[in-house]
Amino acid sequence: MTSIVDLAPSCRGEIIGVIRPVAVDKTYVDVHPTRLVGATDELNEARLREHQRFFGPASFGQPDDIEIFVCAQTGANASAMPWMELSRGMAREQVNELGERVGHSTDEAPQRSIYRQWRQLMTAEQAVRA
Amino acid sequence: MTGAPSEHDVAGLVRLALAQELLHREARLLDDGLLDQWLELFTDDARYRLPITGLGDPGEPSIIDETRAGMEERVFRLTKTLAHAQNPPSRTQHDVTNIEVQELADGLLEVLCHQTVHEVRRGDVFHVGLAEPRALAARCRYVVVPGPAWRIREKTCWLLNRDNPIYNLTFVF
Repeated sequence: MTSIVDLAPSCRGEIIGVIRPVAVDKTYVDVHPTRLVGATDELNEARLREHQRFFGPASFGQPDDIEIFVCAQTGANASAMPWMELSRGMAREQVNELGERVGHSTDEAPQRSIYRQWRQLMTAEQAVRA
Repeated sequence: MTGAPSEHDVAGLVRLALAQELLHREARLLDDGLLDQWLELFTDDARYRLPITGLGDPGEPSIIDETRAGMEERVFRLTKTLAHAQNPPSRTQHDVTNIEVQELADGLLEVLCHQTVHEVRRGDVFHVGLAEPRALAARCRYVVVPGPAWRIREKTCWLLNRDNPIYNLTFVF
């Protein structure tokens, strides 16, 4: 079983996420809060409280995100429409001076980028060595 | 027990009955979705917790650790906003058993019990996450302020499965 560990800044303080895919339609996500060494107990307790308010199965933030993932899973199971549509914000995507594609924060620019890169690698003339 | 029950025994039985009445009323209000009335069962300095580890270390994360203000925000979110994780909403049944009552200092009472919450989100079985009944068990500890109307100062529930991933606990346990 592969685990993915990420360190992510969140507005509630840095978190360590451990993402364990269990099955094609099941993933365990552990989100660990962090303490700041040298900070006051008050500050760390406030950060923990804010973390708990947003993360966890009974929280006010993460469960709604997960519900949307679950709805996407339901849609992916559908057989009437075999394609996944990732066109949100395609018309307003722009390329910045670094050559990076930039989209609105709620657009699907990152999703399109994954498949664009996949296509580039799969059609390259020479194998790409990691 | 031989002979007539003592006054002490009778007082204990009355307290037990009143504690059961309070817990059954709380269960009914939650299962009927009457969350504003559920809030009224709690004191202004109430504390509501679903811990993961004991209660000792202040640095330990909990599933829920909130004061009255947090509980009010929870009720507001469930009754006044469209919370995706409760759309469609959970149907719950809180079953309360194993009730024990002890006196604490300052006239407060400690009420211990077991609770099993049966829960299902109504909907199409093809919709991931819906139509899957669950039974969530917990051992609970309440600190209660007795009086003409009993009020709950603390509600703490230790879920049996608190160490493992749990899906969607956004209904009120």
